[in-house]
Amino acid sequence: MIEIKNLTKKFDDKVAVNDISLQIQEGEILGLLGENGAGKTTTLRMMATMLKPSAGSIQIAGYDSVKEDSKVRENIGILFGGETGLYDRLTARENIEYFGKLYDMSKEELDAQIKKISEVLDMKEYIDKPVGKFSKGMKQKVAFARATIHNPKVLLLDEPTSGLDVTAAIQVHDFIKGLKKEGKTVIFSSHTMEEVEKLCDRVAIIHKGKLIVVDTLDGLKKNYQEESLEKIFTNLINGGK
Amino acid sequence: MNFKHIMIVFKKEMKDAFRDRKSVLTNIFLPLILIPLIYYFMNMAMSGATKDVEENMKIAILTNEDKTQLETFTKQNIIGEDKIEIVNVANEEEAKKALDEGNINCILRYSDGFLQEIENGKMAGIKIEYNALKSSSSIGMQMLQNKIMALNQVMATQKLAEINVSPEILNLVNIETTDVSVQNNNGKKSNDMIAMIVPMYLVIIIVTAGVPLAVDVIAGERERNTFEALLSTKANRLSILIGKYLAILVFSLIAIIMSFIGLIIGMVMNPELFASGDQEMNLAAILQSMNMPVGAMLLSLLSAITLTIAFAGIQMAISTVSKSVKEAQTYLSYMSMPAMILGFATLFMGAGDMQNYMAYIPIFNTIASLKMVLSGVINYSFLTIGVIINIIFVVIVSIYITKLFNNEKVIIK
Repeated sequence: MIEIKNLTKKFDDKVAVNDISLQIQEGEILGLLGENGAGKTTTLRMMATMLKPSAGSIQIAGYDSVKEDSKVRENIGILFGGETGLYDRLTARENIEYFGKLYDMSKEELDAQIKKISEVLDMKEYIDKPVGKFSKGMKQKVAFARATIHNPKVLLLDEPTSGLDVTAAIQVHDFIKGLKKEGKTVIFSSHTMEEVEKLCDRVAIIHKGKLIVVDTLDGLKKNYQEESLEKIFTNLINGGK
Repeated sequence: MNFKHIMIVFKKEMKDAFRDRKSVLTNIFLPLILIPLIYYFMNMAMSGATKDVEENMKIAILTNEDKTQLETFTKQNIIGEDKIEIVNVANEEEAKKALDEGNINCILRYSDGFLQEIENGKMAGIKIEYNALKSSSSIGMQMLQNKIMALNQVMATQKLAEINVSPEILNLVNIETTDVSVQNNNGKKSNDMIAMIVPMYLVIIIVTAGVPLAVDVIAGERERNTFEALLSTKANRLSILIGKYLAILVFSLIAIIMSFIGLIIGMVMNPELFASGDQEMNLAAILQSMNMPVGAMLLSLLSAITLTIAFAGIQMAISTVSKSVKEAQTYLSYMSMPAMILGFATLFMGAGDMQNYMAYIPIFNTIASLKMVLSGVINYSFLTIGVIINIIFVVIVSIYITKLFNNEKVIIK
């Protein structure tokens, strides 16, 4: 579903992402682990076509992120950051509709999809109210709906639980589990080991722009003879085995 | 570029903008009420001060002669039918104190032997003492001066008649002024006040009207954390850019039209402020007396519209390069500065003073174009150069903003 080949991104002289190659299968959940500034967000932004690679390529659902950027965007949904960004003066429905329309969905498709999502996420009571006065949890549901309104094959989530309280973070975890059930491919970056352990099929550890390792949780534990992912991570980025 | 996506972004931005009550109130409805109110108070203050002095004028008389005789002379020859009260003062000190405290408007000081000298046909002196720091005193002084000059004329004429000399001797040289601009424009008159205020005011509105929306659609979107989500939709950047640009432009045009309507209401309510010379004091008469050829009107309108388009782009560019809403607001608050500087620079320039090379300066050329149309002094080559310069300005701004939007370093912060 996703194929990253020798991906590099430079900002002036600074190399933010350095020669990363990675393949992600359909329906897989991949966790991107790394410290702040490791290159996780830059990688996700390149996948979302917001940034152009300095070298290398990304293919999502068979489309090239530079040459067929619009097709790539049609196949992805994003949720960047824990603090949900919505248009406060618009209703939940209008927020979702705006994005749906920009994905060229017809009125009928949109209505049907909003009805379905608002039922699944239990948003029916407040779907037609302005989001400005919503609680954090309610806003988050609107953001989930917005990210998935066009039924994308791939979801890119950049630290979706950062700054959230426990309840809101659990809501995000349930959302990701739901995506897996639907067969979506999910890449999410995080620096919380527990949620990576809880949700991911495979883990990719990035350090100073380089991909150090990518493996299943069991594979990592077996190869590094360590039960704790936290320990494996610390050892790897500190130059240990 | 996708027209459908442009319209989706445009409609959403307009809907969002019109739900922002604060912004709508400040930019759309306030000019409608505020401008007529400002004119109303200006008019009231101007006419009120004169009226107040006319109705409550008080003077004191100082003389070394018989005071009662001079009071009678003043009442009969200077005050006449007017409402001017002569306040009794015991001495000079008391009179000056009254003037200083504003209890009287002026002091009339008669020279020694005043009445005798008048009688003998000799020159006699009256001194008007007033307080220049008090407008009521200055207005009073002006009124007294006019009355005494009129009295002087009457007395001189009488004396000349007594000795059989024609009063014309008083005006050996006759001065006449003719406003050539009136004759050059088929007898139509220009209106100085309208030509002075309206262009500067409109151009300040043109360069600032889109600011609230410009801040919101890029810097605000980025700060709300919605910008990346928007950029990850199927719509390409150019469509998003044009949709937002259109929204700023339409919002600006609505704000400009509302301000213009406010201006018209202000003029209809207070025609005294705008009528000049012998014009009738109603807007229809003022407008009818102005010379506004259709071609020139269209060119000046085009100049104003192209300037609006260019400034909507500049506002958007500033919002794009700003790191936060606060930063964008700070930069954009300086937006009115060039318009104000160039506006004040042209404030006392007549339309006839405009040289063709001045048309190469954006903002200035729009103010000058509007001034020309409102004054009736039309220079078509100036108007045409102004429009061409503004179109070039629009093209440069559009290219710049497109480059900015394609610069990932600027867009993704």
